[in-house]
Amino acid sequence: MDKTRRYDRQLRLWKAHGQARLEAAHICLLNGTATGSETLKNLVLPGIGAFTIVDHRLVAETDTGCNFFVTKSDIGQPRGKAIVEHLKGLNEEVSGRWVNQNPETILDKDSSFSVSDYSLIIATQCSSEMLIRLAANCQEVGVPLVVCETAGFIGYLRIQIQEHTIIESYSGPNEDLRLDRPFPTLTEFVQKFDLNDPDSMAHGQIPYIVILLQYYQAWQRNNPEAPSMTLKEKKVIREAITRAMRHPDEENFEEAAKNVLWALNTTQIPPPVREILENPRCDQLTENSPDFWVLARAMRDFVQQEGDGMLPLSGHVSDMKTDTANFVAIQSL
Amino acid sequence: MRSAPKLLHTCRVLVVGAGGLGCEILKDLALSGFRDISVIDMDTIDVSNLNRQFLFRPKDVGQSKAYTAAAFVTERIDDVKVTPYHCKIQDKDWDFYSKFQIVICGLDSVEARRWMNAFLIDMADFDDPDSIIPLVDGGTEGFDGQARVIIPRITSCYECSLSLLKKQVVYPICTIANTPRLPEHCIEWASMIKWPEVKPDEVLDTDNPVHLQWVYKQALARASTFQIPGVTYMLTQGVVKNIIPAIASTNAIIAAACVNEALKLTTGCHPYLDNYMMYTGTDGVYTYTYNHASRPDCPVCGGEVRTLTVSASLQLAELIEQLGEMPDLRLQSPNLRMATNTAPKTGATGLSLYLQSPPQLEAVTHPNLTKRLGDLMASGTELVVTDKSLPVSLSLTIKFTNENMNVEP
Repeated sequence: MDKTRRYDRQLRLWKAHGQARLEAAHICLLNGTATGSETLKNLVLPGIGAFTIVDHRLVAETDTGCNFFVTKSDIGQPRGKAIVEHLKGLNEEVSGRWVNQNPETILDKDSSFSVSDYSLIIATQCSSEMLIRLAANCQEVGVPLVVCETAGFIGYLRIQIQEHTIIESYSGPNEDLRLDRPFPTLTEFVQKFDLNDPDSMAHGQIPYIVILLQYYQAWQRNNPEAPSMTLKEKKVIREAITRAMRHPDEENFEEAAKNVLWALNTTQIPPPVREILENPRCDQLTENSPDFWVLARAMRDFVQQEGDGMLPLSGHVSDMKTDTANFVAIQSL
Repeated sequence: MRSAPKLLHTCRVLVVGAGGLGCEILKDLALSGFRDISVIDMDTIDVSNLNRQFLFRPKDVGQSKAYTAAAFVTERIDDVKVTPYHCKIQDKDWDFYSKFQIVICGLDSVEARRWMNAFLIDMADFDDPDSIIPLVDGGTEGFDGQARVIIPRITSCYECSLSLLKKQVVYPICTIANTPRLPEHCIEWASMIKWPEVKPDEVLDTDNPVHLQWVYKQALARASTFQIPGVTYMLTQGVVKNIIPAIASTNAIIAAACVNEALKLTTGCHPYLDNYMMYTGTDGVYTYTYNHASRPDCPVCGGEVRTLTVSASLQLAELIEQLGEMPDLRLQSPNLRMATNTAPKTGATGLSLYLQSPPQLEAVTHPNLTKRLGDLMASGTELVVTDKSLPVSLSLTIKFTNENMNVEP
């Protein structure tokens, strides 16, 4: 089956790399309860690599009333085995197996069981004694542990995890225009435009960042000593831009006025990013360091050297009112 | 007193939609003790449903969602009767909907929700308690979702909260035609301009892979002419079909929330959700529940007539544009008439101000578009707005800011 088509609706959230990580995951469930089976169902459908259910019970009449993944004909059969069979029917790409052991005693009785064999452990209906030992085991080898329980209309879910690093987040890049410290190609590009262009077609196509940068440069010439623009000055510029509109439909000037307040701020490294760069883990790199910290260190080195105190420019620019040639030119600056 | 299981066994519940939410809702209802379930869905099963719609298998692709889901649940759980209806919700009438005691919606379309909401509110009659059918509505998008309880004429309704919806992305036609900048602009050009030009006799079917391939190729060619990067087949699908990301786990959470409300509403065992729960799973987990207030001027459940205060020199076309931009109405192509009890001014040729279709009526009313409102009507005139996305007609009183101003040229 064509995976791109089957997984289309989720690939739009986590893309091919996220899917590859999901497919590399092997998840272990302790106790084949209804809650546990439902949790696995929601992992088998998007296509984890493999799952293991640790369960020693036989399917009882009560299971069939609350667990969708056992049937009447499974009554008396091993519960873990029955759930594995039903879950595998949801996605032929996923492999599932069953370990016939009591989850409460598996840490003592089954020497072949090791939490480090799994990417994630999900525990349901375990005693607190068992959970304390399991949590310590997981903590030691850095395997995340999810504990969940339900009773009637209430329930809880807890997560124990040492560190969770994300390199590709899909929340969308922040706009980073550097108007207060334009790079040479940007300065050069901006100089090509005349805000007094008599051609009203051309006037309506001047990208808003050009409008803003020209106003900024004028302010700089008048205030050579000022470290940054005050809110009051930004508001004056906003009014000037609004007055410069030749007619109410000049969207580019509208965009410029709308973006004055943030786009003319002093560019700086966002505090959460600075925190990462200053984290001691950037200094303690070993062969086993996660990629995230290797990249963070490389980023810090760049900032301190070539970047002159700035992050590398992402190059992302959101759509703006202008003609195609201008927009393509801005994207390739 | 009737016992809770008895109440559940005899409750007739309708599930609207047998997709991602619908499959979950059906399973949860059956496992919770509901015995008489109906499901309505006009769709057939697609490969891209299989990552979450767990009642379907690869062999079911092309089959009716309602029938396949109903057969699966009936087979799996004893003593449950699931009755499928493979049709549009709009094909069913008052008699059909009045048979149910509760309706749960798991839909992916705003239009269908507006219709269902308006229908149930129209049915509600305070003199007949059985006619008040609670509506539980769920919705998801990626890791986020919401669940709400609507008690017709008592709580706020779906139409009351339209302004909560994200603004629809609409690219200006001149950008698409003349100055494309984004890959999306090229795709819109291929599907909206190039397709009707090259294939005037064929309607673009967004579910047809051959059609989509054609649109993709055309968009790609246009993008390369303009040196715009980023046109892919996946993006083409996303733009043309307006695809919303969907995953099993969020659907499971929202469906479970909806079915818990159905349980509570049916048995009275606990207070029900009052009345809107939003769930955000994109940045950790965050939920927020609040009472969304009714709008007194809601076109569906409110009694008040809206008043719009505008300049008498505004042209009719500008008024229509203004109406189209109101986020709490989400109109597509509004038709405007004056209420029957009004006396039109000399500038108007009748009570119909502008009708988008049929073409004959459009032609008759077209000249009004450039007329000023002050020439067409007096201040305080009541207008009746109809629109294909508006499930009822909307009454709107027009007041002029400059009532006594002479608008003659």
